[in-house]
Amino acid sequence: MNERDMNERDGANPELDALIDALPRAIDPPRDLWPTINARIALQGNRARPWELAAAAVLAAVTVAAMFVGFSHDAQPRVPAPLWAYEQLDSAYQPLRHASLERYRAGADRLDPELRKTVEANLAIIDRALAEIRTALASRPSDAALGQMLQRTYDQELAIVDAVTPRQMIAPDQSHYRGAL
Amino acid sequence: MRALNVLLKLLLKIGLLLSCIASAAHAGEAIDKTLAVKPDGVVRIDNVRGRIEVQGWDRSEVMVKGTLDDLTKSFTFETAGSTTTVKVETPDHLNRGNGSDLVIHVPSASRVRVDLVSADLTMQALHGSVEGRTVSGQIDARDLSGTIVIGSVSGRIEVTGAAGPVTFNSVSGDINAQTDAEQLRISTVSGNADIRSDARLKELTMHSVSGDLDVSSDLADGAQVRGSTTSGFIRLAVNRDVGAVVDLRTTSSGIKNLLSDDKPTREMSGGGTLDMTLGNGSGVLELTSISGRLELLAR
Amino acid sequence: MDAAIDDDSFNTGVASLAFPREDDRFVEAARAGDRRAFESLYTRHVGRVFAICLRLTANVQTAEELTQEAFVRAWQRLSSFRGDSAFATWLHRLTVNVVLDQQRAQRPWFRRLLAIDDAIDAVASEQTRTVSNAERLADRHDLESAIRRLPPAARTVFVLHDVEGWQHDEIAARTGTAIGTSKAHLHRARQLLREWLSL
Repeated sequence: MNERDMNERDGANPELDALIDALPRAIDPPRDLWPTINARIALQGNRARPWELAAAAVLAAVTVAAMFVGFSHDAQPRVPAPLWAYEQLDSAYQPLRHASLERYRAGADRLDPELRKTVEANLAIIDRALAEIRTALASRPSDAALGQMLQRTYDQELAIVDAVTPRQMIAPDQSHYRGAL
Repeated sequence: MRALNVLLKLLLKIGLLLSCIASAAHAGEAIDKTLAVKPDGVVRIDNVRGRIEVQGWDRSEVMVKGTLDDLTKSFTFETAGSTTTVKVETPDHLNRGNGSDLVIHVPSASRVRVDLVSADLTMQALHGSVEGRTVSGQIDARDLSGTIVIGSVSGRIEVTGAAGPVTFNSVSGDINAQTDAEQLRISTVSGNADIRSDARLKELTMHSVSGDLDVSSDLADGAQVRGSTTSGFIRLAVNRDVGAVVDLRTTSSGIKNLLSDDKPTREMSGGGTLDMTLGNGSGVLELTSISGRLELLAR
Repeated sequence: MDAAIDDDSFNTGVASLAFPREDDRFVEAARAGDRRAFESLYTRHVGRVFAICLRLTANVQTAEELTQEAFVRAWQRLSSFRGDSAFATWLHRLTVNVVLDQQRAQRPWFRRLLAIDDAIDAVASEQTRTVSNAERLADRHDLESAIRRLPPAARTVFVLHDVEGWQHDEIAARTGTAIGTSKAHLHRARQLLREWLSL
């Protein structure tokens, strides 16, 4: 087989090439990926403890689980994943949560008391929800939607803290709150 | 090439400096300033306390009018390249200023990003893309299009007329919206969302922890709908002739189906499932809850 | 599939194409530790990065995690970004590396688990043969879902070569295969796509 046969990009099938050219350049992820990225780089930014860094790296390993989930090529709804995948997800988030909540506590007394009450009430709601989700996962480990619920709920917790915590890494005179949500 | 780069950067910095000096302002001062900008550039607005109104208009200018917080440390109003910045800085969040009260006109095709803390935000006639966030203020938006992201921690969100992909994020604030969106994403912790879409939705993603989600919209052919809640309820009203593979599951709460004659199965645990195919089955409608009730009804 | 595909939709990629030099300011600030500036870069580029990850992995959740990984790695390596090329180009290349690294790391794991080499390709080919007529019809002109069904190795080469514009020698070097293998994978991919899409 000569090179021409092998590489048909040079016009051998203009219809296919037209479809390729029409593919969208960008596809939006179905959920906001920023809270986790933000929490991970915040952890690396300054004063991160080695164990936290090591644990954060585990998040990447969670992909192993995702590969399993994604074994079926068409993304069917509710493709089952093994329970250990979620246990791994759970433990991967712990250092991020830990650092994030520590950051929150360090600045909590500077918050408007009313806002602080709201934030803490919602962090408590999230905490209870996480427990509920874990219990549900234990009885329905093959339900991928529950795993996603767990992940989204963690992301929400990270996002709340980020929204009300001044950026530590910006020079103090430029520090500001921002809504990451 | 490198030398040219350095020169360009230097020029940019000088330009920046000039605009900063020109816009230096004092606390509590009345502001009325205008800058010529690109019609489709980026406008970033930062403010801690007070009330900010952002209005789209058909001029290639950004105009800032109003009064600054009486504790304003610095006020920046500058344009560099395609980015325009409006920023009010106050020294510390413990010090309670009286807040800034600003009306900001921007070219309606601008991509606008507003970050506030405890300030209310009003937005109108913005047709580039819009990201508006506040921590504890309220957000009121009308007539938006483009990619829209609206977020609040504890403030209420009210929206009328939002076309384009829309994302709502709230922690405890309630969301009340009428949209013309084909893509809609909703995330709340304890806040409730009541949303009506007047376009046929192609994609709907919603998640709440304990907040109630109430969404009403026709679904397009092949629409992807995914919703989850831990303990809130989800009530979804769609067109009766919808085509979708439906999969509803709860761990310990009820499911109500008023969209078809299919009956949910009840489990020993108190939870239920509803699996059915409606119409041509081209879309996906998947709702999951742990202890919150799921309801599916016809519009 | 879960993700929304729309060129003019959420986030940008589009914006970053229209204003390439705007990235420079954000890059500079992000290098100095400004996470908010980095968030702007994320917002501008996440659509492109996710598209690369999704097409290479054919799995939404994996693509989400690799997108996160790519941005975290970009943050760590911002200091090595020289500014000679556009930030977008640098980021896209880094993203491909993240995905390929991940896939390579997975391979022994899969082999151990399945005890068969190229098991995935075999499964994918099997799926290929059992595609129903209805699916064929639905797939017509839906190149995106057809790409998802390609065997992984063929998909990787197809996405890199035909979608992302890489050369065979670059692909071969990066994936550790021969140029001829890369070409063969591309040929196979295009053949399958033409068949599925009835072109």
